[in-house]
Amino acid sequence: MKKKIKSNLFYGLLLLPALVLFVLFFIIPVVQSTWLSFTDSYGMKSTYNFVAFDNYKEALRDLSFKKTINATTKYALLSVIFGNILSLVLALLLDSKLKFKNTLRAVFFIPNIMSLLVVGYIWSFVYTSVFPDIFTLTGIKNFTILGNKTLVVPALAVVGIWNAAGYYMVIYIAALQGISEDLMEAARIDGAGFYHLLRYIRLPLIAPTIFTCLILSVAAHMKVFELPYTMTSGGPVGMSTTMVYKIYTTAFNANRNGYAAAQSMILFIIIASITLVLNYIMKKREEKL
Amino acid sequence: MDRKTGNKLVYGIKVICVWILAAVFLAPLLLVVLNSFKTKGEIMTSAIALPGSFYLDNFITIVSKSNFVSSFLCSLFIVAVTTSLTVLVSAMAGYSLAKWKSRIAGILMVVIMSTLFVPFQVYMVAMIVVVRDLGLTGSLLGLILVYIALGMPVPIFLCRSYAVGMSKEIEEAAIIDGCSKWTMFLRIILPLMKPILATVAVLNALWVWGEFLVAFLVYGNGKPMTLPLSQRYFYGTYSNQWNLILANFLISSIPVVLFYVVMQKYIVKGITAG
Amino acid sequence: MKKKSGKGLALLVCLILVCTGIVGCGSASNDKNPDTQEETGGGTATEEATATQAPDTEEKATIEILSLKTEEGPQNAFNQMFESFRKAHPNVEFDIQAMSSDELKTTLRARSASGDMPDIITWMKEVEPEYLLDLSGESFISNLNADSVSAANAIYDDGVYAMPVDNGYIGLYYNKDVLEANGLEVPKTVSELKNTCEALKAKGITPFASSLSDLSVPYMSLIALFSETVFGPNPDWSAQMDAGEHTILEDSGWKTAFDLHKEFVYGYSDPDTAYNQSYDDCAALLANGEVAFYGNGSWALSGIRDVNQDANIGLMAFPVSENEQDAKLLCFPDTALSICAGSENIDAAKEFLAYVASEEAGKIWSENVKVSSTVNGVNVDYDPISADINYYLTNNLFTPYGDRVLRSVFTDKLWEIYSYYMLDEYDWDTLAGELDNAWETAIKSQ
Repeated sequence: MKKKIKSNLFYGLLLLPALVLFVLFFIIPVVQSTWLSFTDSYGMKSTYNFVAFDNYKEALRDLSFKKTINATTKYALLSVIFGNILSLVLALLLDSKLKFKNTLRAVFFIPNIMSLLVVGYIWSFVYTSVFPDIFTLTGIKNFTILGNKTLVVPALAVVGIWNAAGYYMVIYIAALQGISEDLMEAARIDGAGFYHLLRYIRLPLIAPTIFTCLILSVAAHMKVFELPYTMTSGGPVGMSTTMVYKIYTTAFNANRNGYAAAQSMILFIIIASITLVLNYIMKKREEKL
Repeated sequence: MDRKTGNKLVYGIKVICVWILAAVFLAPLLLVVLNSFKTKGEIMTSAIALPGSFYLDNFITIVSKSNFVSSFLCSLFIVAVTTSLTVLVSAMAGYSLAKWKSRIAGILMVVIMSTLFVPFQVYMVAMIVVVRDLGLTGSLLGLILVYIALGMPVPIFLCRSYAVGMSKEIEEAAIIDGCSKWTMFLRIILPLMKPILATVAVLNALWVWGEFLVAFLVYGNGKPMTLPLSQRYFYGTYSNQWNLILANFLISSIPVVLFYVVMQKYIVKGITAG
Repeated sequence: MKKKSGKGLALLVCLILVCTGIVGCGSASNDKNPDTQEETGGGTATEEATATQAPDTEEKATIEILSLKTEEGPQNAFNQMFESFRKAHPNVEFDIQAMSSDELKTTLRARSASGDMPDIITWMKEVEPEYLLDLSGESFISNLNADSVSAANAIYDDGVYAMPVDNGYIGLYYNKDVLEANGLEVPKTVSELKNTCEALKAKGITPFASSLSDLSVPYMSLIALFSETVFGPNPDWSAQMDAGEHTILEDSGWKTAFDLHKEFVYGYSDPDTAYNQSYDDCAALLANGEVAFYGNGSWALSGIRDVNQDANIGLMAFPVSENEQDAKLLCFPDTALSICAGSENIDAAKEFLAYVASEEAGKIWSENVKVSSTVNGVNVDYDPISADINYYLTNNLFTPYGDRVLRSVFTDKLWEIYSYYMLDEYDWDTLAGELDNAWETAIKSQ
């Protein structure tokens, strides 16, 4: 019994520093913000009233907020699916025998080193200054990518993928390197080609990693803010206004802290549900094995 | 014979694919380099043409106007302290969460991971109030503590998965040898976790180096400024001086890129070992 | 074994030492006065340091200013004013930070929430009066143009919380050379403007400069337009709207403003390139004579002059009807300074504002920022364009209300959807309906 207490104390103390910081700088602020979502807190005013679920009701009626859910989902779907495919392809390419392997890995990882704000600035330069020059050079009629209602979200997704691909690539490479070489060799001797190795050995074995990357990238891309902020101001006609960008303008331009907090709670619920569903699928799959 | 030529063909296709992708990835960065050597007028005329002359004024302007050197050193100091503390704190927490057979550990893991789903903009104002209540506004300590708190979740997650995979026998052997649990943690567990800690350190350092918003809110006009804070000078509301902005990106990115290249092997190693 | 756990303890002590070291370092560099620094750990070191500092520094003060003037002109003006002020007040130091309005809003929100406001800020309507010092009755306020002072404080029921420094305007810049080269007169009415634009278009010249990537550019023209069509003829429109006497849907003034905006600012710009053009690009287009018209505010002038010092440009109010007299220039107090209520250096801050309200400071500001000063008796010929502005002012052809008197919930909505109308995403009924709703929400939530 005494030993048990001692061991609990040991593990508890190990956790303590992380826990203290976590409670101070995350739990307390988040709980406070959640409370704000039930109030009419406005701008810098120090007093506010409790309004129960009014903010939530308004959000569910607010067409322009619903529109941001669409834009965000579209952006996240594109970035998550194509981003993960690209990262996986890169990982497969760079996990095999190849000259300059390390240099290439660095090349793909470098975009991830820069903060998203910087990335946004660089790409708005690319989209607004470089592409027009290329179009003129090649004689294509000048048209604007960021001003096109259909193209703007994919254009932002390209940037998101460019930024994140290297990160997930590294995780996939790590998983691929974890597959035992003996197993692969045995399969090769049995006459398995590249496709068979991929379909029946590599992909199934790294499935847990794929799910992890899916969860991480869903959470990251659903929260996109810097790209519309630096590149489009949410336009044209609100097509690229993502949820966090909207939350930001609600809180800081319209000054409605309470409403913004309610919008954030809805975003949190959406991300959490997607994650739960992914988790559920993953668990189901593991049970089958 | 047949198989060999087939292999060669596959290899050739692979090489071509990978280099094309690499070129696409590098193109925007090359444009940054290219345009940071141009005058404002040259960029306006053409963003893709080569610079007319080797124009260095952009860099000189940046270094002279934004306290580049002192900011650089300040950022270096913050990265060093933040990253070492983050590594230590996450190693402790990750190990504990992996080995502690208690319901608390399970719940905590879920809560810590939930940080990933909450956008920072949501709770930033409330967080600043906490920072202020602790009397830490404008101090480096405050900034570092917040950085550790916000940068912790993924490192803890990585450390935990790593620790789960560590064999129990080593710990048991150490305990039988008469080590106290603390000694065991410091002398045996931490060294065993080295690969993942290196990974965590690199990823964390890269993030802290470029971080702006937290520094701006928590540290504000503290002096010396961090590098991203001093760079803000160039992103004023109406100043689209691309030549300066791009040159600025370039010189502030060089140290990180070098750091990454040097540390690269740890990143993959760490995650693999986990 | 004991020895080993001792090592662990040593590590812990080291950690604590490192932490305390950082506090010392952080706050020491903060208040530039390491002598009064106490050797205590923990977070309160900063506060204690400033507290112990107070007695022996009765006149010493560091005034912290947060400004949203990031351009070089205002920054130079501030520095010159500091230097000059410090000749008479050598114990006062200044710590000024310039940031974008978004950043300033965020910063002030955070700092007001944590009770840590700076001493002086450039005024923003988002700052509630509870955080600002009422300056009414201060003698230096009477140095300033009384109309500007009351316009700057129009959103408050009473009290003077904002001290206006300069008068800005939003209007239509035009390039005289472009018009002359094409044998065109300066248009005075809507139909003349339309004819001029058509004539330019026929010669392959884009009439208007506009940006669609930076939506603040066309937004400025919209503000000028509705100020002329709605608030020009009826300065009490907002109060009447609050009382339920108007709707935007049925208001012909709003409709005219949006239609003119769509027809000219958007319709006669080059929509193909507008998405690739920034605020700076637009200024350059006008300065280099590649377009004839560009709608924006006083702050755009220095950017235009940076590109072409001798650009032959003029400024006019947007024509809004066939009657020349309906075109009133939107003139309003632009930059204003406020003292924060919680400031510990209120006396020094007031001294400084008194200096800013002096003729010397007014001149410095006017010359550097290229705007007209609010200080009585200061009449700097800062730019050839000032003659155009004076024409409107002396003939009483101006309107003082821009978007600043409107509530931020409403302006946020306006900002979000105004471009939907010009890009044909919304028809008038949808747009006006949403704006009416936003007006109601704004009343409720503010």
